[in-house]
Amino acid sequence: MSNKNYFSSEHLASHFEAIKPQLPGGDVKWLETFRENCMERFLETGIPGPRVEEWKYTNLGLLKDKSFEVSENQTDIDQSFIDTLSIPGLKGSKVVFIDGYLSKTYTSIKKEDEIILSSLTDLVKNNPDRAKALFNNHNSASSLFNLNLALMTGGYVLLIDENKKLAEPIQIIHFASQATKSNALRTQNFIEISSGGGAQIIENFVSLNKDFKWRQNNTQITLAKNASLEIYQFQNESSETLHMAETYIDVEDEADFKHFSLNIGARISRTELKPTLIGKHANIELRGAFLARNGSSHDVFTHMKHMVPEGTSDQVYRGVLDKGGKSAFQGRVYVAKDAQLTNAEQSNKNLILDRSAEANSKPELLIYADDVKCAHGATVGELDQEALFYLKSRGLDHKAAKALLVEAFVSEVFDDIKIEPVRQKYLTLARDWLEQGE
Amino acid sequence: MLEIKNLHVEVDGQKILKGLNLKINAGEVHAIMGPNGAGKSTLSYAICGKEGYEITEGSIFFKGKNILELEANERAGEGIFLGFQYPVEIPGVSNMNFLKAAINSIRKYRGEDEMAAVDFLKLIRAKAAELEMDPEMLKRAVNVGFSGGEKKRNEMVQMAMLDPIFSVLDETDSGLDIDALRIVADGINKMRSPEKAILVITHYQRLLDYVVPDFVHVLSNGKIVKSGDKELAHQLEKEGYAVLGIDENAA
Amino acid sequence: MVSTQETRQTVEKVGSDYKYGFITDIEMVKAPKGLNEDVIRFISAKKQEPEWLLDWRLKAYRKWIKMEEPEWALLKYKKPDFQEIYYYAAPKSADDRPKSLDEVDPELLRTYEKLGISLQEQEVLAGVAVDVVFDSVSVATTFRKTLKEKGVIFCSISEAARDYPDLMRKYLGSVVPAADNFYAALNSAVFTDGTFVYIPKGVRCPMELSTYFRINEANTGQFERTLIIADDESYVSYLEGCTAPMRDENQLHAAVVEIIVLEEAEVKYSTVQNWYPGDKDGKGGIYNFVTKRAACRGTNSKVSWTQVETGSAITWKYPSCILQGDGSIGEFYSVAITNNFQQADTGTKMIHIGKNTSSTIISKGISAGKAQNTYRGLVRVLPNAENTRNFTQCDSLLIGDECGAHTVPYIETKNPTAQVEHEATTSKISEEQLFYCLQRGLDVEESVSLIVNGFCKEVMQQLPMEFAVEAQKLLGISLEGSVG
Repeated sequence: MSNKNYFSSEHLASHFEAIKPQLPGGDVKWLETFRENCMERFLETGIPGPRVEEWKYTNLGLLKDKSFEVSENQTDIDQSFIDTLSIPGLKGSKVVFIDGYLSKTYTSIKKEDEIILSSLTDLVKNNPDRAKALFNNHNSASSLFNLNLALMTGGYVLLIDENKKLAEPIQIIHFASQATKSNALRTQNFIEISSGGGAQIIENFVSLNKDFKWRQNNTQITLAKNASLEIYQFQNESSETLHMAETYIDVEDEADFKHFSLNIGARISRTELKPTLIGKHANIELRGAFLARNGSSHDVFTHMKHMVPEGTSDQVYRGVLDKGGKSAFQGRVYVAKDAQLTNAEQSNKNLILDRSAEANSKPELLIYADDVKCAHGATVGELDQEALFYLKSRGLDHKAAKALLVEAFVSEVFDDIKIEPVRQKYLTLARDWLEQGE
Repeated sequence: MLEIKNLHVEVDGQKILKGLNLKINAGEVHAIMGPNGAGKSTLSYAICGKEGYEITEGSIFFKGKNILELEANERAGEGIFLGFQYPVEIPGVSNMNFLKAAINSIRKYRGEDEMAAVDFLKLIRAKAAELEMDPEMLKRAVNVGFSGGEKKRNEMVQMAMLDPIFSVLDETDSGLDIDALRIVADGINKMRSPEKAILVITHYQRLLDYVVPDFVHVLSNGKIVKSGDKELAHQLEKEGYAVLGIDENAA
Repeated sequence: MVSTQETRQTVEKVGSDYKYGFITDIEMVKAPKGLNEDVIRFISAKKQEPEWLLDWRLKAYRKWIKMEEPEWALLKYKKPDFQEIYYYAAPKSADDRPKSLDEVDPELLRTYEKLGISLQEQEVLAGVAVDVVFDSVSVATTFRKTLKEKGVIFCSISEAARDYPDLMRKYLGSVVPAADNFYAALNSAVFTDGTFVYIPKGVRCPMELSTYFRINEANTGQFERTLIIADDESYVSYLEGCTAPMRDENQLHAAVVEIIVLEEAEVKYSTVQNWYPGDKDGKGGIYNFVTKRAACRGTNSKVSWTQVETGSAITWKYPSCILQGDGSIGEFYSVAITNNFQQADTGTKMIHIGKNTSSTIISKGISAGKAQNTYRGLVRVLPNAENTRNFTQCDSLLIGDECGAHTVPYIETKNPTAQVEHEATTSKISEEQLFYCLQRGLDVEESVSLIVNGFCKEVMQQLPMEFAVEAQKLLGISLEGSVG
């Protein structure tokens, strides 16, 4: 089907045909069929152009006539380098992806986590029924989500039993090197937490490539009754990277989902979070900051679907736009007719530090139930000049005063984080970014 | 004037009033006291016809008329007024407009003509002055941004304007300093007359020093457990509800 | 509640009794049904238009046929069949234009009396100058002489095309280009009449100017075009009202309003839109697809849009401000009520171009029955718009659990000195508020009307006195039967 609001995506179809046999699980018939179906679904529309409302602020035109290559020639990386990508002081399992493939060398899964945490390709091999079941439920996903499913080269799977709570957070490191000629890195992850279970996941995206790379990292999450999950994301990709992370989360009764993200790298980043509250008294918190300069652009897209009564959701996002930086926050709160007594809030504040910067904000409320409390607020502005003057009058120079205020503005988002090394990492990254400014 | 017989009221399926009897004659002031959760506010809402307060048994007659079939606004039209414990804010609607609408609705209910604008203005200015309310407050939106004391005073102005036959005053004294309490009490006392009756609901005896009741009832666990004169209120003040075998924290 | 059933019945009676739903029996001249270049030539000839205007229309038409109807709004409706519409319908007697009210068809005058606008009375008592547009043509403009003494031009746009070609050529399409969007392009091709206003330098227009629009004929579209030019240091307040008969089919109204505000000038534009909304089952009603835009071209110029939208089956309307002049000010105050099956997607655009420009948006959306009500608004700050200020407040009120209220703001800022603030809330009329009013003796309908009017107060107080009372009543009427 051709639609002029979408970019022609035939080149991705040929790319798929070319690499199909060498994709992981290429010898597994059902997986091949699954990939083909996903590709078909992707091609129904293709890559969305800027006339598609949801892609208004991020132009994927750069993908229009790129040719893509994928290969699994893992680069040799020093263990000490991997260690620098880890958060110090955490003892849990660690999963390392290099150029889109899970690296057995650097991945270390703790004995107690062995049953629950595995690579996607291992699961396909060892427990195909379980794998099939996971792949079953994505029909309404976006075209790009389907593209990733068709072309994925790996991912991780976390399956937590009833009432089991992980003692230590799991770290996931997504690293992209300069050495490989792969320029499309696609991972697909699954998380299922049974009732009463709980986990914490830290995801770190780092890349060193000097040429264009397209990273897609998508995740499908199910939280059963009373389950809890916290995800902490750090995105610090190289300035040649197109970074996309799309996550669907189904949340059942009394389950609790928290998501924190910091976007500071990449040429273009797009973070999509799509939680659906399908059980009563579910609670969702989304927190994030995006900092952009030098031609970098961040687009955070959330779609909070309240389908049942008495859910609560809260979103807080802060943007800082320095010289040549661009951002978009598109947050949608949808409250279905039956979702009475929903309490949904959303706040997006942006600071513009330079006249070449741009901030866009589109906080949407779509409300079909009457007995609800829903509110959103959005602001765009400059630094508080009074506060700046006050700090200067106390002896701080302009740069230090500015940095202090911006840091305060950003750090508010991360105040609630209980894992201290993680909170510190957020603050350090934000501070380093600010110091790189003029 | 008001006769409540064997009143049972449920809220959200929970039994709150369990067979309450109360008879109030014209000219009388009754006080209902009782611990938190005894059902005092439920009684006031049941009399005034709030939605969600389901009468499962019993009757309420007002001036010989069964009022349970009447809507809240029709009961107001009959001459019943409720002074709210927590008066509601209505943004954008001035006190003046609100009262004008209320007075004319009640007049319409009674088959009377609308009050002339001039008369209304005269009346409201006079009543505000009596209750020492700044006339500027009349232009402000109903209860919006009012302090606790101002809200209660506003309730008294509304009562004075609507001139009800029977007033239920639900914890009108709560949150008032001594000056405000005096003004509110004056307002209530002005409503005393041989043709009218008042039901004062309160947790403390304090207000009853200013508004001396003819009868005092103690409400506990959905029923009136003791009735007496004003001395009963003093006794409760001194000795607490425990004397009556009521555990104040149980409710 | 006991009264509910009763109230519903009363309201259903009232509902089927849209006050303005009568049809006036007047002999009409019509263009052939459907749209093509010949129909456009017919319209242009009927209006005795100059050549350039016909060319302008044809150009718009040729662009329009290549355009597609916009689909981004949160609206669901059957697309109109553009070949099933009459694009020109005029009272036959208006072929010889009335020179004064005495010459106006008495049937027509009675129509306006039914609308609550007695033209004579308006002329004599109210001190409001009225232009009346009936189906496609302007039939009467009052107060012309008084206005002329001040140099104010207030006439139908067809007359302006003949009598003031320089002003028309200079400004027509200068704010809303002929092919700006699908409906604007359609309007540019086929607009049949509308109002033209010019306020000369330094003149404060001595009275409110007002236009009443009425769709009467069946299967007729209304495509009026309004052009207002406020020259340096001038001021005008302009009111617009609209009604239509009850018909089972959906009728199309695609208007364009352009406003040009020059140095230090101010225009206040108020609308009470009460087109027929369709019946309680969603049958019939007007499709109201309107493009309204003002350009603040001079320093410190100001434009203020106030709208009370209670009618129409479908509303698609975004009165906008282009703030070019330094220090210019844009305001948008809106109340939009939807009940039964009505749908509205309405809001504004504030485009900040000049320095020190500021804008205020206050939007109150009320949704009841099975209606859908969307606020959609854009605040855009361009790189050179130093010290821009915007404040936006959008509040939605839901009445009943079968309707929807939506808020879709777009904030796009490219200047670090801008301060843009957006706040929105969604709530319902609380049980507590309702009981409080009932306890004071008001019935349900009165209570809802009072609470809703309070909710809308910030907007209502922007309306000129002449409109405010009518608008207040309308709010109450539009919501009758929505609570129970």
